[in-house]
This record gives sequence, C-alpha cells and structure tokens, in this order.
Amino acid sequence: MKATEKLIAAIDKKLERFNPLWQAEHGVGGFRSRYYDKTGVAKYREWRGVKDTFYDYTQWLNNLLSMVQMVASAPVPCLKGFWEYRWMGSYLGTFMFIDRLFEGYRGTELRIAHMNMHAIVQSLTKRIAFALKNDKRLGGGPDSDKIVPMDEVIPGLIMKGFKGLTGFPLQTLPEFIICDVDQHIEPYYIDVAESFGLPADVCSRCAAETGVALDDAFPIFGKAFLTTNMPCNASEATSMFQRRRVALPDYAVTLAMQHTEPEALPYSRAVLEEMIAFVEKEYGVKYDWNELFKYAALLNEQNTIELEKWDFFKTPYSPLSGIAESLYKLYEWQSVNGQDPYFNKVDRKVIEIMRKAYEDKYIPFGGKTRHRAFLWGPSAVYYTDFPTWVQNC
Amino acid sequence: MKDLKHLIYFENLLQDAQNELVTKAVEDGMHALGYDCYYIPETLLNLPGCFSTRLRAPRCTSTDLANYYMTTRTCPYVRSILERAIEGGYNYLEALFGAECCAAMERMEEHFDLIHPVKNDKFFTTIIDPPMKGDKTNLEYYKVELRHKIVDKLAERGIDVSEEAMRKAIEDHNEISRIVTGIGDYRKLDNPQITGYEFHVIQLVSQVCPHHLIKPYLEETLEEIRTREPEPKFPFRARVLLVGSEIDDPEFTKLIESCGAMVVADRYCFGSFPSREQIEILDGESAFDAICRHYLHWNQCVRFMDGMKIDQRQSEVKRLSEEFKADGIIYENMKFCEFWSYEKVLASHIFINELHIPTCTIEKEYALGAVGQLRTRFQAFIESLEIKKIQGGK
Repeated sequence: MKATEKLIAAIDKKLERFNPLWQAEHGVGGFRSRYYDKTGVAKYREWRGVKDTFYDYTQWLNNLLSMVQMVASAPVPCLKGFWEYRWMGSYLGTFMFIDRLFEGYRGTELRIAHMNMHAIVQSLTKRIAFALKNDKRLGGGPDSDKIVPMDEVIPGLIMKGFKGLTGFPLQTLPEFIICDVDQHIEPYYIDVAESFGLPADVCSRCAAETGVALDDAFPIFGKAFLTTNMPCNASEATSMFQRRRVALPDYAVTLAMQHTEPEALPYSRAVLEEMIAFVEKEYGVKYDWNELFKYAALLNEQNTIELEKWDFFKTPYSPLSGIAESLYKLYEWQSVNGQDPYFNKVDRKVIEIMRKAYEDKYIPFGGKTRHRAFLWGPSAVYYTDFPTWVQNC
Repeated sequence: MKDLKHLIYFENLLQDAQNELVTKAVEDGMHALGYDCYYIPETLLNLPGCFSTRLRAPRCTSTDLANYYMTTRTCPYVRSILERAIEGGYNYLEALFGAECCAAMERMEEHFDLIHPVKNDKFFTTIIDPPMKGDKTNLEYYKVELRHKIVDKLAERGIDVSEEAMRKAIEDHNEISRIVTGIGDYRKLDNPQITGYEFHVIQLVSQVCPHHLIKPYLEETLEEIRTREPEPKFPFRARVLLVGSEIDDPEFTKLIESCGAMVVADRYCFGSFPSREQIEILDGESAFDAICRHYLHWNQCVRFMDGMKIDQRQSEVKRLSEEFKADGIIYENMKFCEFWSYEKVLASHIFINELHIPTCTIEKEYALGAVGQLRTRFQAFIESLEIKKIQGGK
C-alpha cells in the first residue's frame, strides 16, 4: 500500500465514528445524528471518509461556482430578484438539498450522483440569471421579447425550431424545482390561492402555481404564452388562471389524452402545427425544422443512453440508482428535453462508468442493500427524500 | 299552486336507475345505452331501437365497495356510479359510452371494463377522448372520436346509423327539447307557475327515461303548466341561477328553494343549459356533422381551455342570469373536483368584482349531506340579495 493510501486508511479509521454508516451499523446513530432535532438543519456535512468527503467538497465548490457565475452574470437583476420573489431566496438551500439527497452515497455512486446533479445546477443557475436579466418586472433586458413563456410540461425541444427565441418553462423556477429544495416555500403560495377561494382539496402543486400567479411571482417576459392540458386536470385548470394573470395572447397546446389511439397522432400534430403558426405570428420568426432536428438528434441520443441505463438497472451492478437517476432524468427530460448538449456529455460519461461497473461486477452501496424497489409516484417522492431514505434502509 | 299531475310519478321514476319505463323499454327489446357526460351526444344514443339513459346513483349514501377501487379523495359522483354498478344497479345496460372528461370519470369508466360490474353479456364500454377547445381542429377530432367509438360500435351491433336514422334521432331530440324548454321558459316569468324543483325533476326524467315512453307525460305536463295558476304572489325572496357540475338530485334544488330562493335556471351538467337546445342541420351538412357541431358549440364543460370557450362559459351564465332575471348566482362544485374548484373561484371573482352580479360558491358531496351548513350558506346569500334589493341594487 502506498504511503498516502496508508495515511488515508488511518484517518478513515480514526474518524469512522463520524461516518453515519458506521454509526448505524454500530447502533450509535445514523444519518439523522448530524441534524438539529426536528429542524432538518444539519450541524455539519456528512463524513464519508477522506477520499469521498474531499470529492464531495470539490463538487460543493463546483456547484458554488455555478451560483457565483449566475450572480456575476446578472448581479443587479439577481439582487432585485431576491427582493422581489420570495422563491428566489429558497434557492440558497440548494447545497443542503444536495447533501440530503446523497446521504449514504460513496465511491462510484457518489461520483455519478454529483455529475448528474451538477448538470442540473449549472443549467438551473443559467436559467435563473437569464430569467431575471430579462424580467420586465425588474426592468427587462435585451431578450425580454424573444422569450416565449410556456407551460413547463410542453416539450421544450419543439421551441428549438425558433432560432433566436427561447422557450421558457414558466412554472419551473417558482414552483416545480424549488419545492423540492425548500418544503416551506409553497405553503405560502397555497395560502394565497386558498385565500382567493380555491378549495383545499385540489392538488397542492397546482394550487401553489395558482398562488404564484395570484401573488404576481412569475417573471414577466415575452409576447405570447403557451399553455397546455398536460399532465393533469389540476394543471389544466390552473392554466386558465395563469393565462388570465399573464395577460398575453395565448395558445392552448391541447394534446390527445389517449395517445396510443390512431386518431391521436394526426390531431396532436395539427395542434402543434397551429402552435407553431401562432408563435410565428406573434413573434415574427419563421420556424426552422432543420434547427429542430439538430436538437432532436441530441434528445434521441439521450433516450438511447437512457434505455441502455435501464438494462444496467436490471442487474445488481448499477452504481446509478435512486434520486441520482430519477431527479436527473426528470430535469433532463422535462426541462432540458434535448436543448442542452452539456447533458449529452454527462450522459456519455455516466454510461461509460456504468459499462465499466458492469464489466467489473461492481456491487454498489458496499453490497449492503437487501431488496430492490420500484418507486412509482409523483414528484412528492423527491421532496420527501423518499428514494434516499429507502435506499439507506 | 295545484300539484302537477305527474310529479309524484316522475319523482318515483328517479328513485332507481332501472325505473319502470327503463324496464319496459328493455323488455320491449330496446338497447339501453348509458352515458355520463354531455360530451356524449344524447342524440346519437337514441337511434332506432336504442334509448339513452344518463347515469345516476339515486340514494347512494356510501361508496364502501367503490372505495376499494377508487380512493375516497376522488369525485363522489363517479364513486357512487361505480358503487351502484357493483351493486348490480345497471345490469340492464348494454353499453356505457364514456368520455375522458376528467381523470376521475375516466378511471371510473375504466373500472367498468376492468372489473365487469355490469352483469350483462352484451355490455361494453368505450371512452372517447373529448376535445378541449372549440375550434375546427378539435371539431374534426371530436367527429373522429364519436364516429369510431360510438357510431361504428353501434353499427357493429346492427343499429341503423344511416343519415335517415340520425335525422330521426335529431327530430326526437328537438321534440323533447321543445317540450322541456317550453316548460322551463315559464321560469322567466315574474311569478312562474313552476318551481325550480319541479323543473329539475322534469329535466332529469327526460334524460334518464326512454324518450318515447316519457314524452306523453311531458307533453301533458306542458299543457298542464300552460293553464296552471301561480301562487297569488311570488313565493320566494330571490331568484338564483344554479351553475355547477353533476347535480342530479332534485332535493338539492328543493333545499335552495326551501331557503327562499327559486332556482330559475339550471346551468349544470344534468341541467337544461346546455342539453335542450334545438339541433339545426345546416345546408349541405350531414346529420352526424350537425350533431357534432351542435354538441361542441353548446358544451359548457369547464375543461375547455381556449379563450373563446372560457369567455363563452361566462357569457352564457351572464345571459341566463339576465334572461331569467336572476338576482344572484350559486356556483356549486363536487368535493375533490379539480376543474370546478378552479372554475368557481375564477368565475365568482369575475361575476362579483367585474360584472357586479352577486355570486355564492359552495361545495358538496354527491349525496346530499351537511344540509345544515348548506342551508346557512344559502340563507345568508339570500339575505344579502334582499339587502341589495332594498338598497337599490348597490
């Protein structure tokens, strides 16, 4: 053993009592030991051994760098955004959120998890800066009228055919992502919606979106708004509130619900063609199908890699599992949707790691897992830390 | 006012989905075709040899069996329908023509297929994907859906779906509509010779009973009302328009009227607005196209999300409140209904703050419960309407 390896091993041994996995195995604590009781606030970050803690720290710096770059690219709008939007401050909890997501992750699992998470952080911080820089509520910017605000579940890929325009998912920043990070932010918006009269027995996610609209907490940009009936009744219903509050010419992208039926494709195609014509008319930009196909190729690659990942998931040798996969896939599919080549680079790296892990018959999580679980449900699984919790169980 | 001759008979018909007229029609060899939503054109289910029957679950106060399949956090209407099906209340049906108008409705209709609660060898279920906008693209999609999932299915079973047959069905629809609308128009009078409750009962029997069997009674009732003496003085303290979802229990209307407000117009799923408008076949148009165009145009479902339809919903309510001289509007929604929860909030905000029409919103279970709370709510609203009148409409 090299001297450094010996030193690292000695330090790891000395400090193993701070490792929550060791604590749990020896009945002297666990992952909750590092939190102030009943607060969710950590006293210190997780000790994962020298190598993994150092790696984790470098990734923390990497994410911090993205945050710094975000503020540096738009310092005044970011500051104004903090004052204007309640949800903006919640993004400061991102680091603790990531720590919580990856509790118990070690080695290859930790590395893949951070690669995926950094992809999200770098993308989201750029989006926040872009949104605030061009938010008319904060003074507007050079791209204010080149942004097409749209419902976040409309596939962003289709907007890539509009060169020079940016399709922006309106609900993602103030509601969709942030409620995973900070569980205390959305009750305020839900309260706003319920004070307006909305019953409390509707889906709370969409109630929160409605509250964001009523509280004027959506950024304002663009010349026209795209809504959709996807993915559910409440989302469709809140669209009717949001279109009124956004008060721009709008087009409802109402796609077929029974999408396996033969009639669904011609109808949905007609709706998308009308949507394109609507945006062309409102923004004066012609649709470029070649530009779309350029990015469609990226999405195809992402999907091809994803299907290969699923093959590895079927085996005991996958270092990618749980939240590292599901949250990444959710963001990559819904928000990125082939628009950002960075995610393709990450996917290519990750799949290489997974191929090697399979060849080496690498057993993740130290071989301590006893069961395999298929987790199926809505986004509540993320903000309840359910995947990570069940994995550590 | 003198009691209507057939009111008790009508009330009895509403006590069971398989009432005596439904039973007679089935025994006569007619095909009983069930539906649960305005998206399914009632007219298409009244082709030769068929009769339409809109599904209700009268007197269903608990959904213990349905709760195994559908969480209690879903619409009580759909759970009650499923409950009644499991209990055997719909075994006379040969089909359920459903619509995916909302997630809960669709899940209920799926269960008709999955667990086969209707013990009838001939029974089948189809579910259309209804349009969400009122434009041309959606009309064409609606036509395709209705053609494939209703007309073709009926044709497979030997039902005459020809142009002539559909024109006859339209005539039948128009005739029933003429009678029911004729009765309903009396509600426009300052001192109507019909109550909202009575009309609700009449409208319901026209939807749940075979048309050819209920028509004579309805015609007689129309004649009776023509010469009926109203009360010496208008017996209510206010006039209200009732807007909402699946209100298929006339006792709810009776509750409102017992608090002092006459329900002068019924803009809800089981109501006459829409459902009893005349279908007009335009020049060069086929009967089928006329039916599709008519139902898409008049549909007031709150799941329509284009601006034109949203505006139409509000303008229709405004029109009805003016035409029927309503003092106020009551918006109702079923518990756990996403669409109507949002609609009633937005609409009541618009009517109160922008159109200055007093509006009250309530939510209820399918079975009439929490009567005390509802009564308090209605009484308070009616009082506010009276005060508004006293203050000269301010």
